[in-house]
This record gives sequence, structure tokens and C-alpha cells, in this order.
Amino acid sequence: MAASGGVSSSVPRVLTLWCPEWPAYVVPPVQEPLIVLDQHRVIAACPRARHAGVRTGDRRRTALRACPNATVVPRDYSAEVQAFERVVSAVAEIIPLVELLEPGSLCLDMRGPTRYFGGERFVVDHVRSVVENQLGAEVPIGIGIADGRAASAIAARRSGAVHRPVIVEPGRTAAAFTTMSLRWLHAIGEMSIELVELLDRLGIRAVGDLAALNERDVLTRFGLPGVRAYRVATGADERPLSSVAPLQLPERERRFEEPVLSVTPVVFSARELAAELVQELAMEGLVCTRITVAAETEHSERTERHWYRSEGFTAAAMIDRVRWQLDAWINESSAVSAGVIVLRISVTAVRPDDGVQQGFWGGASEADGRAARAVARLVTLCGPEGVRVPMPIGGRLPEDRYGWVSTTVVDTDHHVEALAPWPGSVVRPAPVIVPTDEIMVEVLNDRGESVGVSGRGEMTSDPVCVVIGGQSCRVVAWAGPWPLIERWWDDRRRRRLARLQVVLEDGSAHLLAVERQRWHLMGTHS
Amino acid sequence: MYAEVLPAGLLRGQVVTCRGPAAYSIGLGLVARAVAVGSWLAMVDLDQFSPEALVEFDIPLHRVVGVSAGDDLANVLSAVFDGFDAVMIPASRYRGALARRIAQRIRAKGVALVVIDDNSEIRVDDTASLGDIELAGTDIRWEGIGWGAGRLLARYLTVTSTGRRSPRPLQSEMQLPPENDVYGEWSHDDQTNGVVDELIDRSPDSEELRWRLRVV
Repeated sequence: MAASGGVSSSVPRVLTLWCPEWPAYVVPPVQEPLIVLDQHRVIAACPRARHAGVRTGDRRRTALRACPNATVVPRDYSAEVQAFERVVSAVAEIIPLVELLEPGSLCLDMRGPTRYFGGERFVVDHVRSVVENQLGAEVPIGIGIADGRAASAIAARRSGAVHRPVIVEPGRTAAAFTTMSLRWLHAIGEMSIELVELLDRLGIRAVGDLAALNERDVLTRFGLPGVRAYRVATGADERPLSSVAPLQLPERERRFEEPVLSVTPVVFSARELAAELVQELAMEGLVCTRITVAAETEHSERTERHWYRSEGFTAAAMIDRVRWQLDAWINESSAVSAGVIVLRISVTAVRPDDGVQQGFWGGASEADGRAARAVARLVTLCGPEGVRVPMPIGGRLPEDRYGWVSTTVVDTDHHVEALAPWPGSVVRPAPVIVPTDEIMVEVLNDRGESVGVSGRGEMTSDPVCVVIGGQSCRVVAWAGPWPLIERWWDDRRRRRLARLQVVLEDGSAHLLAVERQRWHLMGTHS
Repeated sequence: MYAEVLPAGLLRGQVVTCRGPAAYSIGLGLVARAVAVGSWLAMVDLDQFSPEALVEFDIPLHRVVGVSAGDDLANVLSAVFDGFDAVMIPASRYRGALARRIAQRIRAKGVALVVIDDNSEIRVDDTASLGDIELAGTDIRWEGIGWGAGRLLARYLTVTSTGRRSPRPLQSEMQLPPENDVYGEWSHDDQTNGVVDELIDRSPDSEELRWRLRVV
């Protein structure tokens, strides 16, 4: 296959609209800078916080160090979808067949609109003015047009960064993105972070580097996930048409005898529909990438939205979309005047399951199946953030080594349980409780003075007493201090601290750390 | 180890309260074998719990789910009981009226509920939340650490079980977290599920089975 590819007529032109800091704009305005967290990581921030140096992916603590007076709020999916609903309906009025990717992001097939409006530029202008009408000019948006969904998603992200629409000419995808980091492919969901990191270690950092390889080599070395990324990088169709097209795409419908007036029971029945659909496709070795969710009330009010997910929909992901959509619909005051009587989920696009997409909740045993169903139900009760699974992450401090990740984002079932050695970390046993907020402690010597650690990494005097949460406790044994300097090259994420293990008179053991002359609790062996 | 304080093993439908400064470890050690052989563990509202401890107790991470229940705890718990064999919950979330309400469900669903009470929040007269069996860790000794020397290596403690139905307290000395391979050659892959099911038929009294959740 030609690396930079000629014009391939099979790849549809797609427009992607992306609102870069969407989660931050749906929060009611506050005085202070604003940071939105998801799974304990920054996902969005207001311009002032960004200016102060808050970056996507930072931990709460790192973000607050950069911007101490910021207000931190958790992500609110339903508010995001609800606020975005205005944009979707406005865009759908001028161009039908809008596909939602996630809150704050949608895409459109350009074939019809281009002809209708007389050129891609005019479509962009129209979409932009419609969106700005709804959101106001101060909300940043990114609009990108390119061959295929993946390329246009990248174009939209670039457009968000350069503040003007980005249109990639047909067949020029590879050339346009040559210098962009491969992390963008991860950001739009086309590549796992493990693959990005692996390629990074091999010196393949930019999209162009990947596109320059031979497709056959990519396949033999990185398998199907690699080829998928390669196809995006070269601008080929990321999903070539499958030769085994299913005869009929499945659809599931649930009619309610009694009109249902709240969202939860509808979502609950969606769980069943979703599980059946995924199961049916899995029997054929397929996953669906595009679904249409429709609901209707007794008074024939309808909501219908198309959802796209390049990784393919798991049952949990489907249920999420149903809940987002219904939340937005029901909370929009004028739309609904009666109970829901019909819920329908139709699969509108499928692709062969290439092994990237494996059910995390693989039903190996009856207990696994039961747990998987309970997890799906719990997600509807507690929200996607309320149900999490433990994952190894890696680091030297207890808070970095393992984390809890939302089940809805965990799609792979690789069971990595052990970490790399990480020299410099405190070895086993690890503290069982790792506080999520910083808990200050005082470490005192026999004269009641605060104990410090000298620049040479020695205690200034023996610690005899530790005050945790106002309770003073005698120290019966201690060890350390173990100094640690991490990421000294990075101004914002650098840490310089010394750790100390103490055993108190009641038998409890704690890991303390002194950082900038202040002691805090890093973990408790309970 | 646990066989001395819980001769019947961890039973379905039972509420076990773990107390003392080592409450978490006692609870983890208690469910470790059950999870390793195929049961699922839900940790409800234990937000500060570090998953690294699971690894030290040889608990496979892929069968553990953390749940933040929020305000609607009773509903969330009943959903949890539908899907999980073992559930861990802090004492602050399992008290009084709620405990009385869900006690019946715990027995009906055959869940083993482990209540972590490391701050002695449950009063002795609160019989509903006290549970069927109480495991308290006392006499904690840390090995490997001195006065400004060494590091934490191993913790030895005495675990005492008291219960409504047990005539006298039982005691056992144990090391928590356990030393590696204390459970023998248990691998974590799901293939073992099948093996264990076969074992049930052949030797119902084997030590392995005691630590599989039993139906009472």
C-alpha cells in the first residue's frame, strides 16, 4: 500500500466538532479558576487555570500546586450532555444525521452538506455560526474536516489549538499530520496508551514516523491494533469494508406497559437490551461502532440520537449513552410531557472484532457473569465514576503505584497485576490506606520541637511523638528517612521529599513524608 | 492462620467485623482465598484503600470492584449483593438502622460481609451491626524496624474471634500481610476455577474448600 496514499473515494469526508474544555464550561461560573477532575486526573480547566500551568492529566495535588486558589469540581456527564444537547439540535436543524461521539464532540458526514451549501468552507461557516449562536463566542470550539472520522477528529483537535477551522484536503491526511504526536491517536480513541508508549520507546513518536513504515512490518510487529493506527496515520480508511457483511443489523426494543416517568428504570431495561445486542454481535465475531438510541413518550415526543465509538461499544458504554441521552432529553423542560413507553437501540454499523475489543468482563464463570451484570446495574445507580476497578499504574510513592479506574473506560482485559521494580520506592509491605487528601501531621522530638530532615538526608533529631489529626501518639520504632527526588527536570511535577516509617504505641504503622519542611501522612498500614 | 479462629471458614450469609489497628489486613486476609479461587469482591466506600495491598494479599485485581455508594446506600448494597460473593464496607457506613434492614438480604443472597471497624465505631450494644463474628487484632509486633534503623518487614499479631454463637473466644497468631506463597501454588488465572469445582466433588473437606465461600 502506498504510504501517503492517493485519493481514495471509499473514505468519506467527515466534519468533527470538538469543544476543547467542554467539561469546564458546563459548570456554573465561579470566581476562582476552575479545574474539572475525572478519575482523580484533570480533564479540563478554565483559561485562567490553564495559564497558571494546569495540564490535562495532572493529579489533583499537582494541579493545585500550580494553581492553589482554584475550585475543583468532579466531572458531571449528564450536565455535559444536557448542555451539549442545544448544540446538537441546532446543528441537526441545518444538517441531519449528526453523530455524537461524546459530550462536547460530534461528527457529520460531509457528502450531502458540501453539495448543498456549495463547498466545505461554507459548511464550516454555517456550523460555526450555529454553534456560536448557541454557546456564545467565548467558548472555544474546534472544527476539522478530513478523510474519515479519525483524521477529522485529529483535525478538530488541532483546530481547537490554533483557533481556526482546519480542513485537510482529500488524500492529504498523512502529509497534514506528519509532525503531530502519536498521543493524539490515543486521545481520539484509535490507539491504546500502551501501544503509544511502546512506539515511543522505539523512537516512533510522530504520526509521520508511523506512516513511513511498511504496513506488513507493522502488522507482523504490532498486530491488528498497530495496523489500525497505521491506517489512520496514512489516511487510509481506518475501517475497510468487511467482506462478511451481516445480513441484518440487530435492533432491540422495549415497550413499557405503564409509561415510565423517571430515567433510572428505563436505563435499567436498556441494560438488558445492550447486553443482548453485544452478545448477539459477539456470536458473529462483530462489535458495533455506531448505535441509534430512540425513545418515545405516550404523547409521541421522540428523541433519537446516533452515537459513534471507534473502539466499539461494550454493553456498559451503550448504557452510558442511553443514560446521557435520556437525562438530557428529560431535563430539557419543553420536550417531555409524559412517561416513556418505548426504548429502542439499533445497531447501525459493525466491524469485525479484531481482538482489540475484548470484554473486560469476560464471562469465564457463573460468578463472573453475575458480577458483570451487577457492575452494569451499579453503573446506573452510582454513575460511571462510582464503580471502579483497581489498576497498576506505576511510580515510587504509594499514591502513584496503583489507582482506581472507572469500569466504563476499562475495555481491555489484560491482567497486569505486578509493577516494574521502580527503584526508590518503599518496598513491601505497602500501606493499605492512602489518603486522597493531604493530611498534615506533626513529628516532634523529646523537647516537643518539630523534627526535620537535613539536606544530607539525616533526621535533625529522633522523633518521639507524632500528632495525627490532633491525636498525639508516642513513637516506639522508626526508620528512615529515605529521600526521593522525582522529575527534577520538570518544573511543575518535580517532587523532593523524604519518607519516614513510624510505629506508634498502639501498634499502628504509618508512612510519613516531609516535603517543603512540612510533614504529611502518606499512608497507613492498617 | 484463619482456620484456628474461624474453624468453619468464611460462610455465606455471615457478617464479620474486623477491629483494631490492623482491621483492613485482617479483612483482606479473610477474603483473599475466596477471591483467588473465583469469587468477586466489592469494596464499598473504601475510597482511601490502596489496591497495592490486594496484590500483597495475593488477591487478583481483576475480580475486585470499588463502589462509591453515595447517598443511596441501601439500594446500592442490594445491587452489590446480587453480584458479589464478598463485600467489604467501613463501619461508618454500616450501622444501626441500615444494618438491621439489610441483614435479611445478606442471608438471602449468601453474601459474606466484612465490616472494617478500625476506629471502634460500632458500639458493643449495637447488636445489629456487630455482626455474627468479630475478629480483633491485638498484640501487634512489627519486625524489621528499630529505633532509626531497618524498615517495616513483617507484622505479627494475635487475632481473636468472638461471636454470638461461639462459646469461647478463639485465638491465633498470624502474619499479615502473609509471606509470599503462604497459600501454596495458587495461580491467578481463571483456569483454576474449573479445577476447584472438580475438587469439590472429590474431597469436600480439603483445606482449599474451607476457604471457598460456603453455602450455609
